[in-house]
Amino acid sequence: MRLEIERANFGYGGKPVVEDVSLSLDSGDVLCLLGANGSGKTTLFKAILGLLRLNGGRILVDGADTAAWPQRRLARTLAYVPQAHTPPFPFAVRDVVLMARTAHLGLFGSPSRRDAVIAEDAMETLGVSHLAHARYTEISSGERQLVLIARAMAQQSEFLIMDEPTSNLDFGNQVRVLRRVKELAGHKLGLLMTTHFPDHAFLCASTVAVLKAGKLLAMGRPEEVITQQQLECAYGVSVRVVEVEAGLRVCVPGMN
Amino acid sequence: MLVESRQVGLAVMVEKKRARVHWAGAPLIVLGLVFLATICGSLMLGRYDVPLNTWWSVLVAPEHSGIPGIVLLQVRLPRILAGILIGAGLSTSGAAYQGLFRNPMVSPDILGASAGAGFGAAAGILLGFGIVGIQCTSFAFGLAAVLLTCAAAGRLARSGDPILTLVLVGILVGSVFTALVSLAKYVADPYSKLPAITFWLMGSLAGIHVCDVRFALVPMLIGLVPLVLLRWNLNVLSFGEEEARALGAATGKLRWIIIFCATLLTASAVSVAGMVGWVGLVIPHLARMIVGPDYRVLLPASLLLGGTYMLLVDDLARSIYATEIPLGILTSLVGAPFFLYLLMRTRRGWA
Repeated sequence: MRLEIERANFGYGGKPVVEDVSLSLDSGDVLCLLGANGSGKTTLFKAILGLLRLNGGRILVDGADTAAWPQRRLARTLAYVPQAHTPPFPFAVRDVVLMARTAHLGLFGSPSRRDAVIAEDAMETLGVSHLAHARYTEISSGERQLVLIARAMAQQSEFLIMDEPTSNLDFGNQVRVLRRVKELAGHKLGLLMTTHFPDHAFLCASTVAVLKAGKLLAMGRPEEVITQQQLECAYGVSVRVVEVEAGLRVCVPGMN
Repeated sequence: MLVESRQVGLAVMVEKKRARVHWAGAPLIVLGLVFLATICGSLMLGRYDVPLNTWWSVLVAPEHSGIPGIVLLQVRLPRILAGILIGAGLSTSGAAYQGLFRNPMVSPDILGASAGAGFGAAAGILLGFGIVGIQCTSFAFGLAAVLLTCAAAGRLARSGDPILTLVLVGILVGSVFTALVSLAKYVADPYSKLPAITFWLMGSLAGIHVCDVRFALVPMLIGLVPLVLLRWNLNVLSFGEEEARALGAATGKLRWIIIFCATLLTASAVSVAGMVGWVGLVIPHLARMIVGPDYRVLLPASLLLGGTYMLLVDDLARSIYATEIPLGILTSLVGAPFFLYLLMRTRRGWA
């Protein structure tokens, strides 16, 4: 399947936040969205998820405009992975994952045994089965992020929209999450994620897009887009991109 | 060998956990039994002694059972049914509000629903309406109060903590309606209407007739049934508007149905028994401590526990003193200290 953002425009009170942004993503791709704070990444995500209406442009799934889709249908196509958060009530992890099945239930429905099995499989895939009966409010933020990814898997959507899945995580958990992201792309899912670390795009992205002040600065393969010039333009600090060994690049900020 | 035994151990552990999950219904069965026991106990309680062995003859042939039959079926039973309806209604609406507003400290009292419904009912009494009329005005003003709270809090929430804002605005709206109740009392006829409004506001089940129960039953069921059916969606909604939508919940529609039903429950409880405070806050909390936050179990648990609690409080009200103590006084005496205890126990303040 193919997810396309076609000339998206959005603004609050006349001030443009997203201007003429076009992106596309196929099943099995990992599209990494880079950009400074306030560059429009979150707004773009909300528009894709149907949480806010674009002022101009369209969101297409296999060529079909999603604007008129009910939330249920949209949720069966696009699953959202928010940043690890704390809900007000101490739900069990398995119930948090089970909530993904809402898109497949009627208004008065409750998850069945089959839904529970789907949720268990998703937890298995992400390696969080041992947490099933733990309270979601009491596990670590790295574990919470993995649980939220498991939840998105259980939603059985074609695309995963991930909002900074590696932020607030320690180094080990960042790497664990990125590994899962790569594996999920192998499951024929399309992944769209934002990150504050260009290095992470080198590690798992098939395509990188850079936003600056609401506009698309560049889009392409990671080694084409993540260059010294683009990063300096996007973030306004000096950076060097170093090739450590064949096919492995890292970004090193300049400190003066 | 070691690995194998560990795996077996793990499998046993998983099985045990499975078994525990299958028994998520066990607390409900226990609560149900306690509820039934409380009903029987409440039927027995009273100045006139109806021995257990006469119950059967009363139930089989109510018309030939004489005084025991009248005491049991016409005095105690309607009162018990009304108590169950009110307790269950207030607790269920409290549990629903808490999920919808993602805040365990929210209750019909705090959102201003009770005060609004109270004013509506006082206005109904003042204008000489019948029970249905009182229910309608009570519901209308209860809903108006909740909408006012939501609208004002929504406007203010952009510049501060949304939960604190909601609670503060709820208190403001509540105090406006409380002032309006005082106004209604002030202008009421001091010999007929004023005592009626005053005693009714204190909360009591003393004057309940079978027909009151019948009138309250319909709006109560209209409020209860959708909430019980929507209990899974309440789980999803407690993750917040945006996340719930991304999970596929029709949040706009759900929000309205839940506010409507919960307010209808509060208003019909208030219109039958007056201001019986704190039940909608205390009981969902207690239920959450017993069965956990999953609304699939929490909602029925709140319902049963609410019915039980109200019966126990009413039993106290009619037995500790020669004259009856108004219900609202007792629920506040129990509820307010419990709220304080919750505040001290909650590590994250209001949230």
